[in-house]
Amino acid sequence: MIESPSLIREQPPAVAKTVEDRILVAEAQAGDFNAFDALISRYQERVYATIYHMTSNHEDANDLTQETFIKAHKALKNFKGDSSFFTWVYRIAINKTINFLKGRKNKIHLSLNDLDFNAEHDPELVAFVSENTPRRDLNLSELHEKLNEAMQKLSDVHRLVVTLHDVQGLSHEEISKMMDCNTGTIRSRLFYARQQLQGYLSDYLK
Amino acid sequence: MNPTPDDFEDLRRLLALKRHEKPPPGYFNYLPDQIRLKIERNDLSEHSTWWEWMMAKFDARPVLAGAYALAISGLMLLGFTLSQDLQNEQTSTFIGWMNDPVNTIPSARIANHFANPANIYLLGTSTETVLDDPATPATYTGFPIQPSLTPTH
Repeated sequence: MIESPSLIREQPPAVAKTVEDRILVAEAQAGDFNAFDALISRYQERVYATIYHMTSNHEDANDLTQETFIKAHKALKNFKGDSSFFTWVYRIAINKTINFLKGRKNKIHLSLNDLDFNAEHDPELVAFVSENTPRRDLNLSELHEKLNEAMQKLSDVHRLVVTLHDVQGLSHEEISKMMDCNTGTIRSRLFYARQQLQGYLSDYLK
Repeated sequence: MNPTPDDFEDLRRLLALKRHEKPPPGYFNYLPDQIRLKIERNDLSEHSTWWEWMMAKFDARPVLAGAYALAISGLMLLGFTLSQDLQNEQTSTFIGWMNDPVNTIPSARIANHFANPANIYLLGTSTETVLDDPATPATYTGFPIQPSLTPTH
């Protein structure tokens, strides 16, 4: 089946971009803040999105995104380039978010109204939802809310794997580097997380 | 029986909904500035004195440090040269004045001081001893007619 444009996964950074990253990183390490600014602009959206999907709160995602880049700037001198800057900064974001969620624990508060949720303008997605969800009376926003509630029921690690793979579109290999474990573990976590989600959302899926 | 990866296709399509979650419009335009501001603020608070902050900046940019050092050295040299010139000019003026005391006209205040150091007013009285010139009697010309000493009847 051909995926609609809106459902195509976000592509990981291209190789050419990684080379540019290295130059920007070297300049940033030499004290050029404009180079670091360029790196922020390049990855802020993906870092923010990952954190947001983990926390489901804009304010928390905003704070954690800022903290991620502040820590990255501070630790930039120690960055040796063993991995890409993208992987490295994602790792910082993931660690910060997991630590934050451990502290927050049961205080789940969704603030989806803060966000500009404009999926209604995506005809492909609307058609998909209306064709595939047995609950015809449910509108897109409600379905979205149910999806987020189901996501929050997952453990932090399982939610992270689903976010990085199914929402952000990263490969198993990239996720394994970020989470410092092998791809087999990632695959098994992803499988388990999807099973869980499927169970929670069975009323809304065919 | 476990589901195959294909069984999750609908779920994955549903998860695509999450890609439409976006922060408020314009958020990513000001985020880098906010981050930069916080980094600079953290830098300042980490280095308690401005000197430490400046040293940290110079550590990161040795070229900048060299440029600043050159500029400061230049300014110091210029200041030193100017001060030397000024000092030479003042000294020559002072020595010139000291070398020619005859032609130097002191100010009126200094002249008065040396003329009457004790600031004494010389008022002619009967008890006053005249030391200046004993040969010349002190006369008072205030009265146009000399009083007559001849007794009158």
